Amino acid sequence: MKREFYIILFTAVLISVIGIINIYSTTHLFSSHSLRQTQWLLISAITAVILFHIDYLRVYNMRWILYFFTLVLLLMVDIVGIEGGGARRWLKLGGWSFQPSEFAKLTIIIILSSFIDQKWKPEGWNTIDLIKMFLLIFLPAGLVVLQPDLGTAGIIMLIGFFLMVISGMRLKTLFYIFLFFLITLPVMWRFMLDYQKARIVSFLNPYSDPLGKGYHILQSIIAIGSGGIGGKGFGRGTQSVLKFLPSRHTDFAFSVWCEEHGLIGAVFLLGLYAVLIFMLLRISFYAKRRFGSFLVIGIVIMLMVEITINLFMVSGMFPVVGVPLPFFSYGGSSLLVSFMGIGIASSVMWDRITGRFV
Amino acid sequence: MLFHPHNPEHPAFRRKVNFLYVIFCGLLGIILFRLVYLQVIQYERWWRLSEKNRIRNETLYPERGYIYDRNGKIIGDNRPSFDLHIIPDECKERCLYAIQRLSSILGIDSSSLEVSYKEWIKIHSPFEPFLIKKDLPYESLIKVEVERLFIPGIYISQIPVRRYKHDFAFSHLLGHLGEISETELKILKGKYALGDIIGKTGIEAVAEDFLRGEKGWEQIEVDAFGRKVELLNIKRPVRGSGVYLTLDMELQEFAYSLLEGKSGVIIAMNPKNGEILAYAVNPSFQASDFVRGIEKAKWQEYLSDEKAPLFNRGSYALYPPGSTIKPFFAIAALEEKLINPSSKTNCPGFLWIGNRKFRCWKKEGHGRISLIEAIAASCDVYFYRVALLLGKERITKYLSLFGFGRETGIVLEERKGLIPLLQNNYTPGEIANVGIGQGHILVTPIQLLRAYAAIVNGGYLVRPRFIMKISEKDGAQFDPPSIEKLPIKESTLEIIKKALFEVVNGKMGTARWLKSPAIEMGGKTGTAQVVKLEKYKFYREEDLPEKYRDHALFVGFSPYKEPEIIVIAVIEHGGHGSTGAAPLVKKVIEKYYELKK
Repeated sequence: MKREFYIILFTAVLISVIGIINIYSTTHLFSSHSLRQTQWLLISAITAVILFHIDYLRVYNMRWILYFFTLVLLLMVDIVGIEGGGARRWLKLGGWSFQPSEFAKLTIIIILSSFIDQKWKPEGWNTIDLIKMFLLIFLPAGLVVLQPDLGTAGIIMLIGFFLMVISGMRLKTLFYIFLFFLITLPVMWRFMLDYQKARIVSFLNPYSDPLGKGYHILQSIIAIGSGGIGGKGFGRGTQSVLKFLPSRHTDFAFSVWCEEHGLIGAVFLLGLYAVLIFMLLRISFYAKRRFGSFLVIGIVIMLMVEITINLFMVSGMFPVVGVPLPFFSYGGSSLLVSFMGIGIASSVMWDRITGRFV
Repeated sequence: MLFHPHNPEHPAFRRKVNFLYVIFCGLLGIILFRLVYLQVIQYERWWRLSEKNRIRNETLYPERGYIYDRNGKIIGDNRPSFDLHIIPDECKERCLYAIQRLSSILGIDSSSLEVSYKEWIKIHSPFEPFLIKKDLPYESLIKVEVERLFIPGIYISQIPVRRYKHDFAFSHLLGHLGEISETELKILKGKYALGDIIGKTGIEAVAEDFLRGEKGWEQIEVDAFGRKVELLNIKRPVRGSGVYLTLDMELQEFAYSLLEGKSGVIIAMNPKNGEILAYAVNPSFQASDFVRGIEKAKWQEYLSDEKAPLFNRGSYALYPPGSTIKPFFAIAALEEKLINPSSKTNCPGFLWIGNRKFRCWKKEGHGRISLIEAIAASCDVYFYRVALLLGKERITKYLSLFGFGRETGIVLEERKGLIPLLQNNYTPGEIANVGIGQGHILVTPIQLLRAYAAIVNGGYLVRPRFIMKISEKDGAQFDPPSIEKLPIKESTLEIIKKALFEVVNGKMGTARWLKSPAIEMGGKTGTAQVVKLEKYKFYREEDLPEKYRDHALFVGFSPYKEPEIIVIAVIEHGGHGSTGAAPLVKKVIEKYYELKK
């Protein structure tokens, strides 16, 4: 089963290398970006290999330490974090800055998987378990909201919610949760402060901020559409070269790729993601413990949610919320966390009794 | 070790996992469809936008809210203003040529523009428009439109700017607009952008939040000549709320016309509720000079003008009140029971205080007169005596009670004025002088008007108000009426009011020649002395050079019972109150009745 891990690793590295080439194309003048991302890729790939060789049950045993460590890091961000773009998101360690909120996603997956492992019931979740799980999710998610980073907080909540549903949520409960939100939403709205409301309004309607996010979307669509079937060629994207497109090496990296390599390039990239997700999901069948299965599923959900939101966002079908495309966008923390994810997921294939891979 | 049915081998679990994968592929499929739609079906359009044409993001400026008078007549609305720019990215190497050509059409100096353009382009993006001329006149606009065919990159922006019904008459009340300053930008973070126009003084500043409106924006596709090809997106701006003033536009214009050629103030108010009906100040400034932010040279011109046209004489100028202060001394003395309204005092034309002789304005004296006569005839000797009887503490107490030496609470910028201070020591001569409104007493016209309103409305100190309503909301919440009942006996006020009536209607009244059967009016004259040079000491008033003449004051109200209008006129260097100011007040009151019909 080592072979499968290397297929997964190879696919992820391939997407990342394409990503670095793409970053190079958009930022010739600042080529340090692509160099930096290459360093991150090396570190991330090695981390993935190491995690793959570690027994995933060690992760299970360390779950509470990990959980509290994450909470402490998030608290530190709120207190001594570095500001950027109106929010505190980064912690600085030496010359490297990283986003604890990214790591919080993995922590949530680990803690919820172990909870599911212990408390699973054939008839589905009861209310007390649901509340416990909700609290486990809410603590870190709330701290991320305070930064404020609504995008990442939303993703953490979504991961948690989907894990709860897949592990056996009763249909009736699902209906009640839906009803609960329908009722409390207007009430919450009343108690929110003006600036919080404004943030939500611009989240729901990016066109309310003309020169900001609405502008991004239009420029992104122009970039994608003008690429046509074959694309304009490497380094020839006018939208990106002329700097029309904002955040072109981070959140909107996919638009640049589409402009320069057209529909063909886009389909190739989507295909790579499809392969990656397919290979990862298969691992959940091999797991010998429920913890392993849900660890894999949680990590796959994390990647799926991010990939989907980012692609919908850049193609103008979802509001601009600042979610990077996993493996592809510039950003060290995101890359490292994605690779850690596939490393941990792959380690589920390890059989601890035989000491071999399944 | 198997966990039925969540044994990973269990088919139900496999089904769920497969379902998850199908969902993901479905989502990728949607994206694929979207990409095909954008990159294949709509390819032409987006390719055109990325290669040939440009998208312009334009801020759409809102109209400023209108300003109306109490009857809904428009005092201030808006007109379109056109600015000429070029966009360097679009005119490319022909930009300098474009600047030369356009400036020759407009008749402006091109060399200085070229120099500033060369500096500007170094630090700005080529997509940013470079301003050639602000506020193009209509004829130039047509000429420039023609040039568009020959010069690429011409860009004309249109914004609404304030237009006033009358350029001068309302200026001191409405205040002036101006470009937002950096400090204002910091304080009002987020609401404004650099270059925005904001109310700086007066009503424009007070009601800024309501008048401002809401900005919009549009994204348009333009071709290489800057012509609009397609509107991609728009959010329309929202006009600011209308502000209704308590002012009567026609009365205001009339009052302002009375001040022509003079320096001074005429303010008319409803004494019952403090609603200002007219607020005319001259010299005034041209409000349209400020609507797009004033040019430096013009601003300097205003500042260096000796007549101080930017100076709001209604609430910010301090004048000695002269004889108009006397009724308040009379009230104080009556309340303190120091004088008896019926007993008479002799005025020989002077009064010795210490070793100095204090003169009455009437050299031969008034003879034996009562309180009412003393006010009507404005006898100085009588009030020297009253002031000395009262002493510093009681003078300060009563003057302060009537609002002197403190703010009136008007929404405009104002000064507190000056009354004798408790902690200072004054000689008896200084105290006596205060009794006739000279020396240690200075008031603003609005203060004086309010104090008189309190006499004639039965002892209520009102706050002067300007804002009647904003849009459909009652203005009371923005400019609330405030009424203070003064602890003065009604009988006292009745006596004083009678005396004020006698000023115009009595035999000895200083303004008796204004008496007319048509209009029932009372009031008080005042003449405020201006410091004169020694050499002019023996000149007659009318022979003096203007700047050494006295200030003329008059406060008049009508009708006698339940007055509904009270007017003050202060004319700088206008000579006597009865001749310099009182006729103006009478005309305003006449106009008021005429408009009422």
